[in-house]
Amino acid sequence: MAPKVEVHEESSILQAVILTECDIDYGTAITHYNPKVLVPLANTPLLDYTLAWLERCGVDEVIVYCRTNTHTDKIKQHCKRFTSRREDCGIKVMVVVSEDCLNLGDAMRDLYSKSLLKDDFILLQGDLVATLDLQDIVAKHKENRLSDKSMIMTCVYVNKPTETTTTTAAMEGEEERGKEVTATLVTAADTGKLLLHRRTRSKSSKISIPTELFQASSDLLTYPAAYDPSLAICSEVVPSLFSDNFDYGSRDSLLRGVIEQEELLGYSIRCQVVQDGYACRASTLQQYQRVSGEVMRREAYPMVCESSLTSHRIRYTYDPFTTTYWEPSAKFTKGNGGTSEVVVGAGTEVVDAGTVIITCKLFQRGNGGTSEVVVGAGTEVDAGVLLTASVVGDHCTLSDGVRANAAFIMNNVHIKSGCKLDHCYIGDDVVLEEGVVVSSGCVVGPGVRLGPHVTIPPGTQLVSRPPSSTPDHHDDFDETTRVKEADPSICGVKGKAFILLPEETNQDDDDDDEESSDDDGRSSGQDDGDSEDALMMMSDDEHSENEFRREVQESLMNGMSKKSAAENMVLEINASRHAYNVSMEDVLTTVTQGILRAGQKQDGGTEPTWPGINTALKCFVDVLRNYVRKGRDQLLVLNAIEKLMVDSPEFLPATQKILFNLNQTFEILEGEVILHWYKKGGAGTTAFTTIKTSIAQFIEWLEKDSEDEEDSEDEEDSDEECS
Amino acid sequence: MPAQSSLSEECGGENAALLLLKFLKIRQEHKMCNCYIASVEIKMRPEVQAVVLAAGPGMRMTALTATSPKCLLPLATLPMLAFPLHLLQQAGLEEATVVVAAGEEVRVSKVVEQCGLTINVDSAPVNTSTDPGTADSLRHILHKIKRNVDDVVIVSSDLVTDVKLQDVLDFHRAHGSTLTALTAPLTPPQHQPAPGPKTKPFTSSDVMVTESESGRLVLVVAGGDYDHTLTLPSVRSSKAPLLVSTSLLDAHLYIVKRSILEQCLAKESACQDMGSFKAEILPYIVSRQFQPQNKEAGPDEDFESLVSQYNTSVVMSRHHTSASFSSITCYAYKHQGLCVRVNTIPTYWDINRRMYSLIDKVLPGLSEPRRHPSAQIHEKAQVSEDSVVGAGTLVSEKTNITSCVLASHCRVDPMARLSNSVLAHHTAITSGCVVENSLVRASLNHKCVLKNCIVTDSSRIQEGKTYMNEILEATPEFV
Repeated sequence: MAPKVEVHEESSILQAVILTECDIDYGTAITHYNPKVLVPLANTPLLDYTLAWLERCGVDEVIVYCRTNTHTDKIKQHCKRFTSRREDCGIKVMVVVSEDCLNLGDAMRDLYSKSLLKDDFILLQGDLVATLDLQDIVAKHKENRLSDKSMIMTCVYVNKPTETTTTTAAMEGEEERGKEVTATLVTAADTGKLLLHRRTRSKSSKISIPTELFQASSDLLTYPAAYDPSLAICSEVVPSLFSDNFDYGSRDSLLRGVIEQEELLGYSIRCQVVQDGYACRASTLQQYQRVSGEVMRREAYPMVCESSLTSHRIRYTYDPFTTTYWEPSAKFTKGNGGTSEVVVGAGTEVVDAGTVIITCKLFQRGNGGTSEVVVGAGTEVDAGVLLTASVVGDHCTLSDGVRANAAFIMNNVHIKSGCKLDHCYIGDDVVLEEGVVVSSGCVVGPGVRLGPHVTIPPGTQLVSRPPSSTPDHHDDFDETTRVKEADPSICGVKGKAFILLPEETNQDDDDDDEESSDDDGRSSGQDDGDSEDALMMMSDDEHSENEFRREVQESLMNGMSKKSAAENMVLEINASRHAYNVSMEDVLTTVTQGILRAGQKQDGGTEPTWPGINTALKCFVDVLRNYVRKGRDQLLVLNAIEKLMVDSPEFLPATQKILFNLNQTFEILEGEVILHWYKKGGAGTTAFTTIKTSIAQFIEWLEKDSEDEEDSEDEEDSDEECS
Repeated sequence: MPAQSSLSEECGGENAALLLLKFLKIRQEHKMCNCYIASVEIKMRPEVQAVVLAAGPGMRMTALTATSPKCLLPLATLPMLAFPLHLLQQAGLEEATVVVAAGEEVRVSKVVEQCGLTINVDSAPVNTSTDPGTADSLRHILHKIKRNVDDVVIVSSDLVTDVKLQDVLDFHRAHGSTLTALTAPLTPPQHQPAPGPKTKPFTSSDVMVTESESGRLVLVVAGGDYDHTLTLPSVRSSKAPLLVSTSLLDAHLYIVKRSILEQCLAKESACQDMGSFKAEILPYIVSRQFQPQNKEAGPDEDFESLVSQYNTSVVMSRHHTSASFSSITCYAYKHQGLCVRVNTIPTYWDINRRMYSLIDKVLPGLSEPRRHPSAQIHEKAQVSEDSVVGAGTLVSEKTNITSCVLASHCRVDPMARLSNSVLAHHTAITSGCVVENSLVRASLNHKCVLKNCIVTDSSRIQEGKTYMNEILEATPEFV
């Protein structure tokens, strides 16, 4: 009996997968130096919140999944430290690194191939701060799974009756971004089965429900905007489903696939919409600000700022009246007193400082201000400093007259008197000289020096080194790369900073991509994380086009050697066309170029020769004719030939003969069309000028031909003339 | 005594005046100060008026309604109309306006005394030749709705329920609801199949969208009025999940604020062309909840804002009816018990068959015996316990009656065998008849066998024949 129990326990290890390369990033100014999951929120790295929560919820094994990059070692070290720092750590943390993981789907496929996931597991993002009762959720999942084998996943959503999203001023200046993380859900009221899942797009969107859903369930429970913490309890089927379907990139695409193809796959997904507990992702900087505020306001209780999540010791002094936290070693120097302004410190003694904070803050309450402040170890705050809703890291100095509202100041930052900070992120080792104004939405990267007396416009991202050295970026920094010296008009005379240009073009592309592919995951046009997605998508398209080209070429080569009938060739090409979803125009281009290339290859040599091309043309003239139906198609053929010249100029000598034969022998191209095309300047590629000269003779002949159309010229003559 | 005159003017009604007299008497006895009178709030005016819609032609049960108006079809021994009237009476209403088809007023007003009800019935005939909808009927009796009531209870004559109307009214008032609709889970008939030929169940059900916790109505779409998609209004203020339900029965009992009802039924209203209250006006009112308020600042509103601005001591009474649409809130009262609309043959059949066990629930306090004392049942007749026998019914010897409903003044001749059947008033069953699972509304004058049949015309019955799954009704004569 005893070993049996042990076996049972062995199999019921609860695993969790934390994805550290979150779908949405904070922007290079931050993540170039520090991975997103290690960015401190209220002076505790984001990953610690997740790990601490999972440990408390009885998770046995955590897989921290990350991509190979400069931060991998940092994450590894951090996880090691997390587990070693407390003796009784209940979780086993395993860091899994992969070379080419671009999204959640890739991660799942990789973990599946490594067969690291044994049973039900929890899937979450590394930027989640949550206090939900996971054990209860997992138990419900298992219970449902016992009763309904087709249920493969439980998605967890949070629907709080009281809405707290009203952030006064958005960090990123884009208030609507927060809406991206909510979803419209339609579930069966009795089972909780997910029937419809849609990202909430606009603020006032009306919800439309397909009435066919009533066949599935007579009562539907609809959540207009449930907050999605990207948390799911997955069964072992989920990774296998991802590896069966390579087009599943994100969890959303899996949801869509499973819901749409329910009859085919025979799987279903359930929802658990929780009312109690806290869960919020610090996905964007705006959300980061929100979560930070909520943690300070103790909404994520028992995860509170004053107790360290790694060692559980009390690290900060907490003043509940003002929601202020400070490390005992922080110094608040004495002020003049009597100022009407609210000051953080007015006593040399730390305890006194606390009391003064209380009175001052209470006074400020009357003005409707918030007062959540966290001050780290060894930080010195002068008199006359006004801090609201801000976090100050360790060993910082804030001089007299500094005002900071919703500023997130990391470690070793020195801010001199008269600086004003508003809704911004200040990285490690930043020095702000006197009178620097950092406007809302700014990100000041580590090591930047600014000032004195400069104003940073809203939404600026500053880094300490010229941005070209940042590897994540594409080459649209021409202007800044040229300027190797920092521009004093931007960062002040003592300053050293470079503006990181927002990638507007990329972002636009991305939005387009997203619309066209109708919410491909939640790759919302969000800073950098998405440019990668966009790239990936582009390469995806290219990839399929290349595949198509290759297949057509193969069919043509085969057809030529086997002398297949034209109808069969067309059938084969059309099959490929449907497989890769290629437009008719692209097909014609590919076929034209393919035929010419087939002639080249058939010849065996690398240099294309006219006889080879001629046999290929003869062989496939019917295939080509099948695709050329109207005048426009003829132009496409001409353009295709021109584009071929761009890629492989070795065809150039044969151009005239190709055109002549297509015109005279095969009668696919009309003389008029060729003339028209010629006069309009072809496809406008670089190769046209060379083509122009090489076919000048033929064009001249054509013009003459059209002029005296009446005189029936002898075709033999013209043939000779051309050759 | 100046105070007296002003007060009696204000509260209208005789009851109020009576109370005032009583009060003055007490005051004299106790030698109270005069000033007290002014502060007394008199609550005696009627707050609710009931309207029973009983002019429906019963389009879904034409086999039965060809001979009798739908509202007078008997459920066990009582006419259908008695059930909603009793519901209203139980809630303490003293009067009900009953909309009936022209020509049926007399029969309808007799229902009350027949059934021993005490409620006053004011029957309002409508001309049914133009096939008026429920909204048309309401427009017709709009002038009968008293100016001083807050709410109007609109109830259909075919409702059989064990809900306490008082609870629904309390819910309505507690939520400050503009319109409250009674709903209940849709339950399939217990007794199947209904007699007559097999019919398809009714097509598409209504869709009701409510906020799952509060019960606030968000959207109402009548069955068949929706296409491939339903569009829910955006309820921005709340994040409460919405329950989109097709399994809720709209019981056709609504409590509506008089002001809203009057606005909707007024000539210049947007609803002036709407014929059905349920399918058109109700969705309209519900949808108005989420439309932006139209700021038509009338003189009344100006006055209100002035009052609220400069005189904070004035608190609007709850009787104060603002003429604007601004704050419409509609709720669904979700009743978990019995709630059936008797508007199809299957439901009519089901309710009749279940009436033996339901009668205490749906007609509490109305002592309608299951076996009427005036019924004459021969001692050699076998009548099962769960049968209902109405007044003056004569059951002869050597008959066998199991699980049947025999309405009043029926006659069952010797040697007849009846099982699971329902007999209407004044039905005679001749000796030797065998009736199973059938609805008999005409006398069987010839010996025959009926299975799953509906009989409304006795001339269709031929001697010694067997009928199965048929409707035996008078063929309409085409001249």
